[in-house]
Amino acid sequence: MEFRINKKDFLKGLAMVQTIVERRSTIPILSNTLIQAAEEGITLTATDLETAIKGWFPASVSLEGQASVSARKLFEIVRELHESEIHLQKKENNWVTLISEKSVFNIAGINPEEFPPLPKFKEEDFRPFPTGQFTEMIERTVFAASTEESRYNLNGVFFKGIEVDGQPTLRMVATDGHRLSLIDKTGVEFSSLEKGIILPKKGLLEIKKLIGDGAQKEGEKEEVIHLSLSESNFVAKKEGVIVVTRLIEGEFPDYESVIPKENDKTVRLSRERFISCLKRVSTMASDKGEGVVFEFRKGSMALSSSSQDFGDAKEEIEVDYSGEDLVAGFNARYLLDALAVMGAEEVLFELKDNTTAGILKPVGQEEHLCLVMPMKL
Amino acid sequence: MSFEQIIGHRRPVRLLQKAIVNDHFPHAYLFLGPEGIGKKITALTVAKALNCEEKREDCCDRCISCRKIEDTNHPDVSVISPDGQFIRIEQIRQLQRSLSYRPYEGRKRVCIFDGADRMKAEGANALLKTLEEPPPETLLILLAPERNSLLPTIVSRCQQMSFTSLPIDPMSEELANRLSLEKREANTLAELSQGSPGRAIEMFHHEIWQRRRKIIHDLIDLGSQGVQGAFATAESLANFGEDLPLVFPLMISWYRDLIIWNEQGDVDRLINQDFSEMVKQKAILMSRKSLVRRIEAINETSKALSRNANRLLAMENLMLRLR
Repeated sequence: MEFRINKKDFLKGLAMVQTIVERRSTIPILSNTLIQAAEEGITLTATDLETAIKGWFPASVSLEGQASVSARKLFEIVRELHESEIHLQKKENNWVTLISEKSVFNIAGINPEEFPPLPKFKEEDFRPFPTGQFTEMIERTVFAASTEESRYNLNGVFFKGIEVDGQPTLRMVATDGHRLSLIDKTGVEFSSLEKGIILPKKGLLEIKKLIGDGAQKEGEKEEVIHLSLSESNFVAKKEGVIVVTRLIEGEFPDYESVIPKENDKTVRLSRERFISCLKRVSTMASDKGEGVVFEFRKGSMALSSSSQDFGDAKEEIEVDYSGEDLVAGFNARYLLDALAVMGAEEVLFELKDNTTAGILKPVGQEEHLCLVMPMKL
Repeated sequence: MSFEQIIGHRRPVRLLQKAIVNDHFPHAYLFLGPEGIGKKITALTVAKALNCEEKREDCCDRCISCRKIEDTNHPDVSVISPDGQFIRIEQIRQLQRSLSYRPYEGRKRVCIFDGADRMKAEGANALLKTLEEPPPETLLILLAPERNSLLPTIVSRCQQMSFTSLPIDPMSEELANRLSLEKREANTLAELSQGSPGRAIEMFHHEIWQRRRKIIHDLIDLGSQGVQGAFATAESLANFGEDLPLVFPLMISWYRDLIIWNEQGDVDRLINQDFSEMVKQKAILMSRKSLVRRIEAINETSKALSRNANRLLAMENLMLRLR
C-alpha cells in the first residue's frame, strides 16, 4: 500500500474515526483504524463492534493495499504536521511509514486481515429519509435512554413503524424506567419496522453527527440521509461516509401501558419560564434525588425544595390551573432534560395524582410527549 | 496450539472434541486444575476449533479466525483475567453488555474466565444469571485451581472438567523440544514445575532458573556458615520480591532428593541429578526426621508469605531453621 494524501482530507477522516476507536479495549486491533487504498482514494474504518464508521477520502494511490495502525497515534501525528502533502507506505511486518517533508514516522501496525469485517449490506436496500425529521426524532428521545450497563435493552431508542388513523407513522421511544420520551412522525415511511428495533445510543449519536446541522434552508431541497436495515444492523449513509450500528437484542418493555391515559389536571405555561424556575428551585434540592415539590392550587403552581445541608427554596408561578389541590414531587433534572429538547414556546403539564406519572407535551406538537415518574418527598 | 499438540489431558480433550463434533455443549464449563497446567490453552483451542475455517474437530492454527484468536483480536472470543488482584465487577458487566449482541463474525462466541476464583462475591453473583442462561451460540469456560475457591452457586451451574498434573516423561520431552534443553535439564524443570508446562516455562525464563545451582549451593553451605552467612542468603533470596514463591519448589526439591537417596538410593529418581554426588555426600549426615522438618519449615514460610508476611524476616527465619 502506498499513497499521497492531502493533510486536510486525512485529518478530517482521522478525526471522524476518533470517537469510535476504543481507548481501553481488550482487543488490540479495535484501537486501530483500517486504511484501505484503492484507485482514486482511501477509506478509513473504525469499529468498537457496536458502532462502526467508514469514510472515503481522495488520495493519489500508487499501490493498492491495506494496513491497520493506531488511530489515535496517527491522528496525533497528522494533526501536528505542517506540510500539506503526506506520503504513506506500508512496510514489512505490517508497519507503516509516514513521510511529510522532513518528518519520518514509522508506526507499528497489526495485520489488517485481522480487522473485524463490517457487516455486509446491499446498495439497493438504502432508502432516503429526510435528515431534519430524523435528527429531530433522535434529539427528542435519546436523552431518556438508560445508561445503566445491566439494562442493555433500555440503553437504546426503540424505533418502530405504526399506523395512526390509517396513516403510516414512525415512532421513537426511549426510557430508563424513571422517565420516557416518545415522538411520532406521520407521513414518513420506512419498510420492515413493524416489529420495531432497538438502536443503541452511541450509534444514534454518531448518525446524528453524520447528518451534521443538516437543517433545511429556505428554498433548498430538503437534505436526505440514506438508511438501511438488515437482520442485526442499521446502516446510515451520507456523502461517502457510512455508519453501521448493531441492533440491541432483547425486548423493549411495554411502554404503552406505562403512559397514563387519565391525567385530567392540566397546566399550560411558558417553557422558558418553567425551565428558569426549575433551575432556581432545584439549587436547593438534595444532590441525589433533585426532588422538587409541586403544589397546585387554583390559579397557581408552587415549586419548593429543601435539603438538610443547605436550606430551602420556594417559588410560585401563576398558571391557569383549575382542578383540585394537588401536591406531587418530581425529579427536576428529568423535567429539565425533557423541557430542553422541546421546541415549542409553551408546554402542557398533565397530572392525575401524586402516584401517577406526569406528562409534558409541547403545545402544538402533539406527536411528542415526555413522561416523568413522581417522587415521594 | 491444536488439540493434537496439547500435552497430556487426553480425557478432557476427547470429551471436548466430542462436544464440538456433536455441537452439544453445557451452558458453561469449569476447568479445574493447578495453575499453568494447560487449562487456558485448552479453552482457547476449543474457541479456535469452534470457529476454525479449515477443520471441524480441531483447529488449523493457520486460518484468519485461528490467528485472530491467537492474537486476541477475535471479536467473539474474550478472555477475562484479573485486573490487578481480582476480576472486577465492571469487567463482568462489560462482557454481559457485549453478550447482548449476536456473535459478531464467528460461529460460536467463547468467553474464558482465567482465574474464576479471583472473582469477588458481587462479581460472581452478577455472573450467575449469564451462567444459567447464556445467550444463544455462546459458551462460557471458567478456569480455576480448585472447586472450593468458587461460590457453590457458580460451581453448580457449570459442567466440571478436571485437569491433572502432567506425567513427567512426556512433559520433559516436550520441554526439551520447545526450549532446546538437554534431557537431564528438561527433566529437572518438569519435576520442579510439578507437571505444569505453564509454570515450567515461566520458571525457565526467570532468573531463578539460572541461579538454581547457586541457590542449592547456598542451601548446602548453610550448615557450615555462621549466622551472618545465613542472613546474607536470606537477603539475596528475599530480593526476588514478588517472584519469591518460585524459589520454594526448588528448595524443597533439594531436601526431597536427600530423603529419596536415603530411602531408596536410586540416582534416577533425583530431581537435581546434576547434584547427585553432592546428594550422596550430604544425605548420610541427615536423618529423615530432620529433613522432613526442613520441608515443613519451607511450606510454612511459603504460606506465611502468601498472607503477606515481611519477606526479609520470613526468609531470615527460614534460613535459621534450615541450618
